[in-house]
Amino acid sequence: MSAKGTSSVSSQFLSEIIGKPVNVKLHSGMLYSGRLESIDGFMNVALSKVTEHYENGHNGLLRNYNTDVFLRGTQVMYISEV
Amino acid sequence: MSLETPLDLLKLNLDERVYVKLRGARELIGTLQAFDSHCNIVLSDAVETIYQLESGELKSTEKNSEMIFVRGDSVTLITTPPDDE
Amino acid sequence: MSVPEILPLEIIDKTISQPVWIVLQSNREFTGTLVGFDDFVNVIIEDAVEWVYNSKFEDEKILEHHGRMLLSGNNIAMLVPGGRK
Repeated sequence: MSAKGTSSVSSQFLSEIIGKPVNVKLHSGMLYSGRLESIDGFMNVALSKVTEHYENGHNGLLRNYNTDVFLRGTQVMYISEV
Repeated sequence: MSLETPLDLLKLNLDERVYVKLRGARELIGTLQAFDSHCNIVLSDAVETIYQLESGELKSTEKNSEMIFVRGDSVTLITTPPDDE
Repeated sequence: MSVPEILPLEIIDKTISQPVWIVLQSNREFTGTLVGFDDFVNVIIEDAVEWVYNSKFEDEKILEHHGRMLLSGNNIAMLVPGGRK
């Protein structure tokens, strides 16, 4: 997480939410919900126990991923606690 | 096993079949030969599926490649393929 | 040429722990309480509400988030102190 500075708010937040359930939305509007396994300073994300929706949970489940999922940092719009 | 960084996850998938979601309703399934930090990737024995809406109907076409290079730009998601691959 | 007396980010710094309205380069907006930001203007907001300004010129509520959110600075166009009016 050092790529964005060790004392920045974002890296502190990221270290606090590792292992917790999160929502990650990509610029495409796809919403991924799962457990945050790891994250780096480029906002690359690894999630486990992932569900995929478009925009929000009201739009039906598109997919379940049984194995860990890698999301590319440049495509990430936000990461939020659930 | 706990992964240090998300890219370590890709390292574990080297030489394995992977599912790659791309921008523009495209996806690829292939054997991960190589990748770098930009997510440029090389897949072998790959199948690309392209989804298109044709007069409101979802259609898909497939393309097979022995070896394919994908520029990191278009990659959005990487995981293992669904069981019914 | 004179040196600006107030840096733009100093204004944002004064907004911390106050309501903020964030507009992306797309038709998406967020309201919430500003928790912090970094040099890249990646932003942390609390209890964010996510909106999309749709083609009917309406603000459509997409999601209500509880807890903190790290919003990538990459696509942020504007930060408006005081929240949405």
